[in-house]
Amino acid sequence: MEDEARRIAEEIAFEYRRQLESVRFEKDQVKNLVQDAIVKLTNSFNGLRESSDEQLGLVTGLTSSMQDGDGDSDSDKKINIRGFVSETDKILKTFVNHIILVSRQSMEMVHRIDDLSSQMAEIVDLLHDINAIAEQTNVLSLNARIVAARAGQAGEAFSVVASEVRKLARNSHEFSDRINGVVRNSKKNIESAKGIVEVMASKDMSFAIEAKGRVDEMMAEVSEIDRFTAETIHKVTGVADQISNQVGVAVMSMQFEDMVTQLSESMEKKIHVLENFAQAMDPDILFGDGLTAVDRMQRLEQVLEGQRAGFNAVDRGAVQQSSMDEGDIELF
Amino acid sequence: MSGTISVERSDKETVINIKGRFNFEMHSQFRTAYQEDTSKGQKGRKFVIDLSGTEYIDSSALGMLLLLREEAGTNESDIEIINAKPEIRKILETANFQRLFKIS
Repeated sequence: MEDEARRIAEEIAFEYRRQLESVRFEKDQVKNLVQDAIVKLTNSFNGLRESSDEQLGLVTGLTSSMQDGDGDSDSDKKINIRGFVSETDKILKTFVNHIILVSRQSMEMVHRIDDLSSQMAEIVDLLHDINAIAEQTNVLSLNARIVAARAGQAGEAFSVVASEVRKLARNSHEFSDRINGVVRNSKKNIESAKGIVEVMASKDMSFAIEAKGRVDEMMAEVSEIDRFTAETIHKVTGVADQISNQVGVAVMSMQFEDMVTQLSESMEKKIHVLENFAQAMDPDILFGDGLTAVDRMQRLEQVLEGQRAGFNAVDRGAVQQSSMDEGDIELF
Repeated sequence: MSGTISVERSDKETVINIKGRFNFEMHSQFRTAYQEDTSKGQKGRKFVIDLSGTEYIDSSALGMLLLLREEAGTNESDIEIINAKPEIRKILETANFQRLFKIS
């Protein structure tokens, strides 16, 4: 009967130790699982922060390549809209200046051509004078011939001279007519030259105003795009900051690992105390020969006293904080 | 269909009034309008170009204005362009004339 009781007691003690061992194993498992998860989560959150920073960098880079290099046009050869528009404006101005310069030169040429025309008119006037002289000479030679005829034999030689003079007058008239013809042709050529210069000089300027208007519109649009871009960048930066802050909070929260470790250590101590307790519970106390009930009671008392110090130490050593909110400052 | 030019002369200034289309066909009239003052070689005379009646202006007119400025003595005289209609004023500004003339 007593042997049977001792065997059962030993079985209880064995089962008790086996369960404690199992608790210890599961406790270690929990600790390892939590630690693994914490490492992975921390890496993941840090990766998230890095990706967010990289994304911000990409967006900023993309937009700054679209905007003006601000003066450093020599070093910054990137094509951007604002640069393109102001380049177009410059080309337009150069083009307009060129047209006006051509017109100015053309108008000066027209003035010279006009001067030439009036000089031609003077030549025509002079030719009229020459013709008048030729006419007078002709009349003069006619009169001379009449006078020579009246003189009869004596005037014969003079008559020859008079007809020679008449020929000269005719020739002179003929020359003057030919010169007149040349001058008329020249006048025609001058008029056609003037027509050509007119085409060169006369350009409708409304294209320049329309083009200028379009350039101005484009400039306004570019400014609007710039404003929108700056606003978007500002927002994106804000979002990135938020992500960074939230990741920071998450990473900080990951430090409950310390608490898990402390709790785990505390559990380990408690398991140890329970094991000691099982060790101290000698079945002889209950089932040994020659012991009175009083003796047994005293021995049990002693075991309890002996373990009490261990229990108390474990109680005090338990983790003081039961949640992350209490006293978490020291952890971080 | 070209314009007409009238001139008013006082002791100090010559006012050239251009009506209608200010284009190539006006060149003789325009030259005659100021030649009397510039051929004498006197500098510092003020010219006022009144464009209140001007409906259209092309590049040859701009060329004529530049020639007037040169023949009147670039720096000594001042040339004022007045009463230009908005469209014409835009052309003058696109041509950067506000740097060479007083536009009002």
